[in-house]
Amino acid sequence: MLYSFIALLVGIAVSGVFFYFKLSQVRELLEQQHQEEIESIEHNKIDRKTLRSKEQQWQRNLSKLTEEYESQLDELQQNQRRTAEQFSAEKEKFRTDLVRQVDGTQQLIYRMERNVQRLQQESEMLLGLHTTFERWDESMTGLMNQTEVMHTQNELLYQIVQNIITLSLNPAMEAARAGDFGRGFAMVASEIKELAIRSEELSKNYKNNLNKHAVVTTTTFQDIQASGKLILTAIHTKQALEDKLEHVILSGTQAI
Amino acid sequence: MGNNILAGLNSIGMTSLGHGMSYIKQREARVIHCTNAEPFRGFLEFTLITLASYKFRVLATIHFSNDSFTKYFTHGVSDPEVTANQSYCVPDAQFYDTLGEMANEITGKVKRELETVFPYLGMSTPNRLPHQGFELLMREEYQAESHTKVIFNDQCVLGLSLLFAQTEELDFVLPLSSSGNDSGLSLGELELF
Repeated sequence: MLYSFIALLVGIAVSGVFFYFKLSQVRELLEQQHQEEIESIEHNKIDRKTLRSKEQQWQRNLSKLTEEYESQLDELQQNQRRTAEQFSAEKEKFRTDLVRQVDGTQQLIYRMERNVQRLQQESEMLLGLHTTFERWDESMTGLMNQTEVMHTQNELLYQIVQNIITLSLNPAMEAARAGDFGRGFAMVASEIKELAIRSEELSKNYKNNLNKHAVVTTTTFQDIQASGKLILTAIHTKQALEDKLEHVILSGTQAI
Repeated sequence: MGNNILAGLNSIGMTSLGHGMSYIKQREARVIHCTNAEPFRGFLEFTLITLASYKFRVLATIHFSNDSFTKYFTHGVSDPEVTANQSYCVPDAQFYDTLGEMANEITGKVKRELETVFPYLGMSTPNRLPHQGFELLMREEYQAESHTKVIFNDQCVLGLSLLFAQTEELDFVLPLSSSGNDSGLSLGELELF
Protein backbone atom coordinates (compact mmCIF):
# COMPACT_ATOMS: atom_id res chain seq x y z
CA MET A 1 0.00 0.00 0.00
CA LEU A 2 2.79 2.31 0.94
CA TYR A 3 4.63 1.37 -2.12
CA SER A 4 1.62 1.99 -4.07
CA PHE A 5 1.28 5.39 -2.44
CA ILE A 6 4.93 6.16 -3.09
CA ALA A 7 4.62 5.01 -6.63
CA LEU A 8 1.61 7.25 -6.97
CA LEU A 9 3.48 10.18 -5.56
CA VAL A 10 6.42 9.50 -7.80
CA GLY A 11 4.10 9.15 -10.65
CA ILE A 12 2.42 12.38 -9.76
CA ALA A 13 5.76 14.05 -9.41
CA VAL A 14 6.97 12.80 -12.83
CA SER A 15 3.73 13.78 -14.39
CA GLY A 16 4.03 17.17 -12.74
CA VAL A 17 7.49 17.63 -14.17
CA PHE A 18 6.34 16.44 -17.52
CA PHE A 19 3.32 18.75 -17.50
CA TYR A 20 5.44 21.60 -16.28
CA PHE A 21 7.84 21.01 -19.15
CA LYS A 22 5.02 20.78 -21.65
CA LEU A 23 3.38 23.80 -20.22
CA SER A 24 6.60 25.77 -20.60
CA GLN A 25 6.75 24.74 -24.22
CA VAL A 26 3.14 25.77 -24.82
CA ARG A 27 3.70 29.07 -23.07
CA GLU A 28 6.74 29.75 -25.27
CA LEU A 29 4.78 28.89 -28.40
CA LEU A 30 1.92 31.10 -27.38
CA GLU A 31 4.29 33.94 -26.60
CA GLN A 32 5.88 33.50 -30.00
CA GLN A 33 2.48 33.51 -31.66
CA HIS A 34 1.48 36.53 -29.73
CA GLN A 35 4.62 38.29 -30.81
CA GLU A 36 3.97 37.34 -34.42
CA GLU A 37 0.44 38.59 -34.16
CA ILE A 38 1.63 41.87 -32.75
CA GLU A 39 4.11 42.16 -35.57
CA SER A 40 1.44 41.28 -38.05
CA ILE A 41 -0.92 43.87 -36.63
CA GLU A 42 1.80 46.46 -36.85
CA HIS A 43 2.49 45.46 -40.42
CA ASN A 44 -1.25 45.50 -41.31
CA LYS A 45 -1.51 48.95 -39.87
CA ILE A 46 1.10 50.15 -42.39
CA ASP A 47 -0.64 48.26 -45.33
CA ARG A 48 -3.98 49.74 -44.48
CA LYS A 49 -2.50 53.20 -44.71
CA THR A 50 -1.02 52.43 -48.09
CA LEU A 51 -4.24 50.85 -49.16
CA ARG A 52 -6.23 53.82 -48.06
CA SER A 53 -3.86 56.10 -49.92
CA LYS A 54 -4.12 53.91 -52.99
CA GLU A 55 -7.85 53.73 -52.65
CA GLN A 56 -8.04 57.48 -52.56
CA GLN A 57 -5.80 57.64 -55.62
CA TRP A 58 -7.99 55.09 -57.36
CA GLN A 59 -11.10 56.99 -56.48
CA ARG A 60 -9.59 60.17 -57.87
CA ASN A 61 -8.57 58.33 -61.05
CA LEU A 62 -11.96 56.74 -61.26
CA SER A 63 -13.68 60.11 -60.93
CA LYS A 64 -11.44 61.53 -63.58
CA LEU A 65 -12.00 58.56 -65.84
CA THR A 66 -15.71 58.69 -65.23
CA GLU A 67 -15.75 62.35 -66.14
CA GLU A 68 -13.76 61.65 -69.29
CA TYR A 69 -15.94 58.71 -70.12
CA GLU A 70 -19.10 60.68 -69.62
CA SER A 71 -17.68 63.50 -71.70
CA GLN A 72 -16.74 61.08 -74.49
CA LEU A 73 -20.08 59.37 -74.20
CA ASP A 74 -21.77 62.72 -74.51
CA GLU A 75 -19.69 63.55 -77.56
CA LEU A 76 -20.36 60.13 -79.00
CA GLN A 77 -24.06 60.47 -78.48
CA GLN A 78 -23.99 63.90 -80.07
CA ASN A 79 -22.04 62.49 -83.02
CA GLN A 80 -24.43 59.61 -83.27
CA ARG A 81 -27.34 61.99 -83.26
CA ARG A 82 -25.73 64.17 -85.91
CA THR A 83 -24.85 61.11 -88.05
CA ALA A 84 -28.36 59.77 -87.71
CA GLU A 85 -29.75 63.15 -88.76
CA GLN A 86 -27.30 63.33 -91.68
CA PHE A 87 -28.08 59.76 -92.69
CA SER A 88 -31.77 60.47 -92.53
CA ALA A 89 -31.33 63.59 -94.68
CA GLU A 90 -29.11 61.73 -97.16
CA LYS A 91 -31.58 58.86 -97.25
CA GLU A 92 -34.40 61.23 -97.99
CA LYS A 93 -32.37 63.00 -100.66
CA PHE A 94 -31.34 59.67 -102.20
CA ARG A 95 -34.95 58.47 -102.15
CA THR A 96 -36.10 61.70 -103.82
CA ASP A 97 -33.30 61.47 -106.41
CA LEU A 98 -34.05 57.81 -107.03
CA VAL A 99 -37.72 58.49 -107.50
CA ARG A 100 -36.87 61.35 -109.85
CA GLN A 101 -34.42 59.16 -111.78
CA VAL A 102 -36.84 56.25 -112.01
CA ASP A 103 -39.48 58.69 -113.24
CA GLY A 104 -37.01 60.09 -115.75
CA THR A 105 -35.96 56.61 -116.88
CA GLN A 106 -39.57 55.54 -117.23
CA GLN A 107 -40.31 58.63 -119.29
CA LEU A 108 -37.20 57.96 -121.38
CA ILE A 109 -38.19 54.34 -121.89
CA TYR A 110 -41.69 55.45 -122.80
CA ARG A 111 -40.30 57.94 -125.32
CA MET A 112 -37.92 55.28 -126.68
CA GLU A 113 -40.80 52.84 -126.99
CA ARG A 114 -42.79 55.43 -128.87
CA ASN A 115 -39.83 56.19 -131.15
CA VAL A 116 -39.12 52.51 -131.79
CA GLN A 117 -42.79 52.01 -132.63
CA ARG A 118 -42.63 54.96 -135.01
CA LEU A 119 -39.43 53.58 -136.55
CA GLN A 120 -41.09 50.19 -136.97
CA GLN A 121 -44.11 51.84 -138.61
CA GLU A 122 -41.80 53.79 -140.91
CA SER A 123 -39.87 50.62 -141.76
CA GLU A 124 -43.15 48.94 -142.65
CA MET A 125 -44.00 51.92 -144.84
CA LEU A 126 -40.52 51.86 -146.39
CA LEU A 127 -41.01 48.21 -147.24
CA GLY A 128 -43.87 49.48 -149.36
CA LEU A 129 -41.08 50.77 -151.65
CA HIS A 130 -41.00 47.21 -152.87
CA THR A 131 -44.07 47.91 -154.99
CA THR A 132 -42.44 51.12 -156.28
CA PHE A 133 -39.34 49.15 -157.28
CA GLU A 134 -41.56 46.57 -158.97
CA ARG A 135 -43.30 49.38 -160.87
CA TRP A 136 -39.95 50.79 -162.00
CA ASP A 137 -38.85 47.29 -162.90
CA GLU A 138 -41.95 46.83 -165.03
CA SER A 139 -41.49 50.21 -166.75
CA MET A 140 -37.80 49.58 -167.41
CA THR A 141 -38.53 46.10 -168.74
CA GLY A 142 -41.12 47.68 -171.05
CA LEU A 143 -38.54 50.25 -172.16
CA MET A 144 -35.96 47.56 -172.83
CA ASN A 145 -38.45 45.44 -174.72
CA GLN A 146 -39.30 48.51 -176.78
CA THR A 147 -35.60 49.03 -177.52
CA GLU A 148 -35.36 45.43 -178.67
CA VAL A 149 -38.37 45.92 -180.94
CA MET A 150 -36.73 49.04 -182.36
CA HIS A 151 -33.55 47.00 -182.92
CA THR A 152 -35.51 44.36 -184.81
CA GLN A 153 -37.37 46.98 -186.85
CA ASN A 154 -34.12 48.73 -187.67
CA GLU A 155 -32.62 45.42 -188.78
CA LEU A 156 -35.63 44.99 -191.08
CA LEU A 157 -35.25 48.54 -192.35
CA TYR A 158 -31.56 47.88 -193.00
CA GLN A 159 -32.46 44.77 -194.98
CA ILE A 160 -35.05 46.72 -197.00
CA VAL A 161 -32.52 49.46 -197.72
CA GLN A 162 -30.00 46.82 -198.83
CA ASN A 163 -32.62 45.40 -201.15
CA ILE A 164 -33.43 48.87 -202.54
CA ILE A 165 -29.72 49.44 -203.25
CA THR A 166 -29.57 46.12 -205.08
CA LEU A 167 -32.78 46.83 -206.92
CA SER A 168 -31.67 50.34 -207.89
CA LEU A 169 -28.80 48.80 -209.92
CA ASN A 170 -31.20 47.18 -212.40
CA PRO A 171 -33.13 50.36 -213.38
CA ALA A 172 -29.82 52.12 -213.86
CA MET A 173 -28.66 49.39 -216.24
CA GLU A 174 -31.99 49.43 -218.06
CA ALA A 175 -31.89 53.21 -218.37
CA ALA A 176 -28.36 53.03 -219.81
CA ARG A 177 -29.58 50.46 -222.29
CA ALA A 178 -32.44 52.78 -223.37
CA GLY A 179 -29.96 55.55 -224.25
CA ASP A 180 -31.32 59.11 -224.44
CA PHE A 181 -34.87 57.89 -223.78
CA GLY A 182 -33.79 56.42 -220.52
CA ARG A 183 -31.86 59.46 -219.27
CA GLY A 184 -34.69 60.73 -217.05
CA PHE A 185 -35.28 57.29 -215.69
CA ALA A 186 -31.56 56.94 -215.00
CA MET A 187 -31.66 60.11 -212.95
CA VAL A 188 -34.55 58.75 -210.90
CA ALA A 189 -32.73 55.44 -210.44
CA SER A 190 -29.59 57.27 -209.35
CA GLU A 191 -31.59 59.37 -206.88
CA ILE A 192 -33.21 56.21 -205.49
CA LYS A 193 -29.78 54.61 -205.08
CA GLU A 194 -28.47 57.74 -203.42
CA LEU A 195 -31.45 57.78 -201.05
CA ALA A 196 -30.96 54.09 -200.29
CA ILE A 197 -27.27 54.64 -199.48
CA ARG A 198 -28.16 57.56 -197.20
CA SER A 199 -30.85 55.40 -195.61
CA GLU A 200 -28.26 52.65 -195.06
CA GLU A 201 -25.94 55.13 -193.37
CA LEU A 202 -28.81 56.45 -191.31
CA SER A 203 -29.82 52.92 -190.34
CA LYS A 204 -26.24 52.16 -189.24
CA ASN A 205 -26.16 55.30 -187.11
CA TYR A 206 -29.57 54.48 -185.75
CA LYS A 207 -28.36 50.96 -184.87
CA ASN A 208 -25.36 52.45 -183.11
CA ASN A 209 -27.59 54.85 -181.20
CA LEU A 210 -29.97 52.03 -180.32
CA ASN A 211 -27.01 50.05 -178.94
CA LYS A 212 -25.97 53.07 -176.91
CA HIS A 213 -29.56 53.52 -175.77
CA ALA A 214 -29.75 49.82 -174.81
CA VAL A 215 -26.54 50.07 -172.77
CA VAL A 216 -27.63 53.24 -170.98
CA THR A 217 -31.13 51.86 -170.36
CA THR A 218 -29.82 48.49 -169.17
CA THR A 219 -27.17 49.91 -166.84
CA THR A 220 -29.66 52.43 -165.42
CA PHE A 221 -32.32 49.77 -165.04
CA GLN A 222 -29.88 47.38 -163.35
CA ASP A 223 -28.55 50.13 -161.09
CA ILE A 224 -32.11 50.94 -159.97
CA GLN A 225 -32.96 47.27 -159.54
CA ALA A 226 -29.81 46.40 -157.58
CA SER A 227 -30.03 49.58 -155.48
CA GLY A 228 -33.67 48.77 -154.74
CA LYS A 229 -32.65 45.36 -153.42
CA LEU A 230 -29.88 47.02 -151.42
CA ILE A 231 -32.38 49.45 -149.89
CA LEU A 232 -34.79 46.63 -149.04
CA THR A 233 -31.95 44.66 -147.41
CA ALA A 234 -30.99 47.75 -145.41
CA ILE A 235 -34.62 48.20 -144.29
CA HIS A 236 -34.81 44.55 -143.20
CA THR A 237 -31.55 44.99 -141.25
CA LYS A 238 -32.98 48.16 -139.68
CA GLN A 239 -36.14 46.28 -138.74
CA ALA A 240 -34.13 43.52 -137.08
CA LEU A 241 -32.21 46.16 -135.07
CA GLU A 242 -35.48 47.83 -134.05
CA ASP A 243 -36.84 44.49 -132.84
CA LYS A 244 -33.68 43.97 -130.78
CA LEU A 245 -33.98 47.50 -129.37
CA GLU A 246 -37.60 46.87 -128.48
CA HIS A 247 -36.57 43.69 -126.68
CA VAL A 248 -33.88 45.61 -124.73
CA ILE A 249 -36.43 48.30 -123.76
CA LEU A 250 -38.89 45.64 -122.63
CA SER A 251 -36.19 44.01 -120.48
CA GLY A 252 -35.31 47.45 -119.04
CA THR A 253 -38.96 48.15 -118.16
CA GLN A 254 -39.29 44.80 -116.44
CA ALA A 255 -36.05 45.44 -114.50
CA ILE A 256 -37.42 48.80 -113.23
CA MET B 1 -6.43 52.05 -153.46
CA GLY B 2 -6.79 51.40 -157.22
CA ASN B 3 -4.19 48.63 -157.06
CA ASN B 4 -5.91 47.04 -154.09
CA ILE B 5 -9.24 47.06 -155.90
CA LEU B 6 -7.66 45.67 -159.06
CA ALA B 7 -5.89 42.87 -157.17
CA GLY B 8 -9.12 42.07 -155.32
CA LEU B 9 -11.16 42.08 -158.54
CA ASN B 10 -8.66 39.86 -160.35
CA SER B 11 -8.70 37.39 -157.48
CA ILE B 12 -12.48 37.44 -157.21
CA GLY B 13 -12.85 37.12 -161.00
CA MET B 14 -10.63 34.05 -161.14
CA THR B 15 -12.23 32.25 -158.21
CA SER B 16 -15.78 33.21 -159.20
CA LEU B 17 -15.33 31.76 -162.65
CA GLY B 18 -13.65 28.70 -161.18
CA HIS B 19 -16.37 28.10 -158.61
CA GLY B 20 -19.31 29.56 -160.45
CA MET B 21 -19.00 27.32 -163.46
CA SER B 22 -19.11 23.60 -162.96
CA TYR B 23 -18.62 23.33 -166.73
CA ILE B 24 -15.03 24.42 -166.43
CA LYS B 25 -14.08 21.37 -164.43
CA GLN B 26 -16.30 19.04 -166.44
CA ARG B 27 -14.83 20.20 -169.74
CA GLU B 28 -11.27 20.53 -168.46
CA ALA B 29 -11.24 24.17 -169.43
CA ARG B 30 -8.73 26.71 -168.17
CA VAL B 31 -9.36 30.05 -166.54
CA ILE B 32 -6.82 32.67 -167.51
CA HIS B 33 -6.49 36.25 -166.37
CA CYS B 34 -5.91 38.86 -169.08
CA THR B 35 -4.83 42.46 -168.71
CA ASN B 36 -7.53 43.95 -170.95
CA ALA B 37 -10.71 43.12 -172.84
CA GLU B 38 -9.02 42.63 -176.24
CA PRO B 39 -9.56 38.83 -176.30
CA PHE B 40 -13.31 39.45 -176.09
CA ARG B 41 -13.52 41.54 -179.26
CA GLY B 42 -14.72 38.62 -181.38
CA PHE B 43 -17.71 37.78 -179.18
CA LEU B 44 -21.15 38.68 -180.45
CA GLU B 45 -23.09 39.13 -177.24
CA PHE B 46 -22.65 39.70 -173.54
CA THR B 47 -24.71 39.30 -170.40
CA LEU B 48 -24.66 42.17 -167.95
CA ILE B 49 -25.38 42.07 -164.21
CA THR B 50 -24.94 45.00 -161.81
CA LEU B 51 -23.88 44.76 -158.18
CA ALA B 52 -24.72 47.99 -156.42
CA SER B 53 -23.84 49.50 -153.08
CA TYR B 54 -24.22 53.12 -152.05
CA LYS B 55 -20.49 53.65 -152.51
CA PHE B 56 -19.73 51.75 -155.69
CA ARG B 57 -21.11 49.43 -158.32
CA VAL B 58 -19.59 46.49 -160.09
CA LEU B 59 -20.68 45.65 -163.62
CA ALA B 60 -20.17 41.96 -164.30
CA THR B 61 -20.24 40.95 -167.95
CA ILE B 62 -20.07 37.46 -169.44
CA HIS B 63 -18.87 37.54 -173.05
CA PHE B 64 -20.05 34.82 -175.39
CA SER B 65 -21.28 34.01 -178.88
CA ASN B 66 -24.33 32.05 -179.77
CA ASP B 67 -22.54 29.33 -181.75
CA SER B 68 -22.26 25.55 -181.72
CA PHE B 69 -18.87 25.62 -180.01
CA THR B 70 -20.23 27.61 -177.06
CA LYS B 71 -23.37 25.52 -177.01
CA TYR B 72 -21.24 22.41 -176.78
CA PHE B 73 -19.38 23.98 -173.87
CA THR B 74 -22.56 24.88 -172.00
CA HIS B 75 -24.81 21.96 -172.97
CA GLY B 76 -22.58 19.55 -174.84
CA VAL B 77 -22.31 15.81 -174.67
CA SER B 78 -19.01 14.16 -173.87
CA ASP B 79 -17.52 14.44 -177.34
CA PRO B 80 -14.00 15.76 -177.06
CA GLU B 81 -13.62 16.09 -180.81
CA VAL B 82 -16.13 18.90 -181.10
CA THR B 83 -15.23 21.83 -183.30
CA ALA B 84 -16.85 25.14 -184.02
CA ASN B 85 -18.29 23.71 -187.26
CA GLN B 86 -20.28 20.94 -185.63
CA SER B 87 -23.81 21.88 -184.82
CA TYR B 88 -25.77 20.96 -181.70
CA CYS B 89 -29.46 21.32 -181.49
CA VAL B 90 -29.72 23.52 -178.42
CA PRO B 91 -32.59 25.99 -178.70
CA ASP B 92 -31.54 29.62 -178.35
CA ALA B 93 -33.93 30.22 -175.48
CA GLN B 94 -32.41 27.33 -173.52
CA PHE B 95 -28.89 28.54 -174.35
CA TYR B 96 -29.62 32.08 -173.20
CA ASP B 97 -31.29 30.79 -170.04
CA THR B 98 -28.17 28.81 -169.22
CA LEU B 99 -25.97 31.84 -169.87
CA GLY B 100 -28.23 33.92 -167.61
CA GLU B 101 -28.00 31.31 -164.83
CA MET B 102 -24.26 31.14 -165.29
CA ALA B 103 -24.00 34.93 -165.00
CA ASN B 104 -26.16 34.79 -161.86
CA GLU B 105 -23.99 32.08 -160.34
CA ILE B 106 -20.74 33.88 -161.09
CA THR B 107 -21.97 37.28 -159.98
CA GLY B 108 -23.47 35.70 -156.86
CA LYS B 109 -20.02 34.40 -156.01
CA VAL B 110 -18.54 37.87 -156.67
CA LYS B 111 -21.21 39.32 -154.37
CA ARG B 112 -20.42 36.87 -151.56
CA GLU B 113 -16.70 37.70 -151.86
CA LEU B 114 -17.40 41.44 -151.77
CA GLU B 115 -19.82 41.09 -148.87
CA THR B 116 -16.97 39.93 -146.63
CA VAL B 117 -15.75 43.55 -146.62
CA PHE B 118 -18.86 45.48 -147.60
CA PRO B 119 -22.13 44.09 -146.27
CA TYR B 120 -24.70 46.11 -148.18
CA LEU B 121 -24.91 44.94 -151.79
CA GLY B 122 -27.82 44.52 -154.15
CA MET B 123 -27.72 42.42 -157.31
CA SER B 124 -29.73 42.95 -160.47
CA THR B 125 -31.13 40.36 -162.82
CA PRO B 126 -29.08 39.57 -165.96
CA ASN B 127 -29.71 41.24 -169.33
CA ARG B 128 -28.33 40.21 -172.67
CA LEU B 129 -26.96 42.82 -175.09
CA PRO B 130 -25.17 42.85 -178.46
CA HIS B 131 -21.40 42.96 -177.97
CA GLN B 132 -21.12 46.40 -179.57
CA GLY B 133 -22.70 47.59 -176.37
CA PHE B 134 -19.65 46.42 -174.41
CA GLU B 135 -17.43 48.82 -176.34
CA LEU B 136 -19.81 51.62 -175.43
CA LEU B 137 -19.77 50.42 -171.83
CA MET B 138 -15.98 50.55 -171.81
CA ARG B 139 -16.05 54.24 -172.77
CA GLU B 140 -17.13 55.00 -169.20
CA GLU B 141 -14.52 55.60 -166.54
CA TYR B 142 -13.81 52.78 -164.07
CA GLN B 143 -11.50 52.78 -161.08
CA ALA B 144 -10.52 49.19 -161.82
CA GLU B 145 -11.34 46.52 -164.34
CA SER B 146 -10.53 42.85 -164.40
CA HIS B 147 -10.80 40.46 -167.31
CA THR B 148 -10.69 36.69 -167.24
CA LYS B 149 -11.18 34.25 -170.09
CA VAL B 150 -12.14 30.60 -170.29
CA ILE B 151 -10.12 28.52 -172.71
CA PHE B 152 -11.70 25.35 -174.01
CA ASN B 153 -10.13 23.20 -176.73
CA ASP B 154 -7.53 25.96 -177.16
CA GLN B 155 -10.21 28.52 -177.96
CA CYS B 156 -11.57 31.36 -175.89
CA VAL B 157 -15.13 30.23 -175.28
CA LEU B 158 -16.26 32.73 -172.62
CA GLY B 159 -14.99 35.85 -170.92
CA LEU B 160 -15.71 37.60 -167.65
CA SER B 161 -15.16 41.31 -167.12
CA LEU B 162 -15.63 42.99 -163.75
CA LEU B 163 -15.83 46.77 -164.01
CA PHE B 164 -15.55 48.67 -160.75
CA ALA B 165 -17.05 52.18 -160.57
CA GLN B 166 -16.95 53.96 -157.24
CA THR B 167 -19.17 56.90 -156.42
CA GLU B 168 -17.12 58.04 -153.43
CA GLU B 169 -13.76 57.36 -151.80
CA LEU B 170 -13.73 53.90 -150.30
CA ASP B 171 -12.37 52.93 -146.92
CA PHE B 172 -11.99 49.21 -147.42
CA VAL B 173 -9.78 46.88 -149.39
CA LEU B 174 -11.25 44.19 -151.60
CA PRO B 175 -10.39 40.70 -150.40
CA LEU B 176 -7.80 38.55 -152.11
CA SER B 177 -9.76 35.34 -152.35
CA SER B 178 -7.76 32.25 -151.47
CA SER B 179 -10.45 29.68 -152.15
CA GLY B 180 -9.87 29.25 -155.85
CA ASN B 181 -7.08 26.71 -156.14
CA ASP B 182 -8.78 23.63 -154.80
CA SER B 183 -10.56 22.37 -157.87
CA GLY B 184 -7.65 21.30 -160.03
CA LEU B 185 -8.31 24.16 -162.39
CA SER B 186 -5.57 26.12 -164.07
CA LEU B 187 -6.21 29.23 -162.06
CA GLY B 188 -3.77 32.04 -161.73
CA GLU B 189 -2.29 31.86 -165.22
CA LEU B 190 -1.50 35.19 -166.78
CA GLU B 191 -1.55 36.05 -170.43
CA LEU B 192 -0.52 39.39 -171.79
CA PHE B 193 -2.14 40.91 -174.86
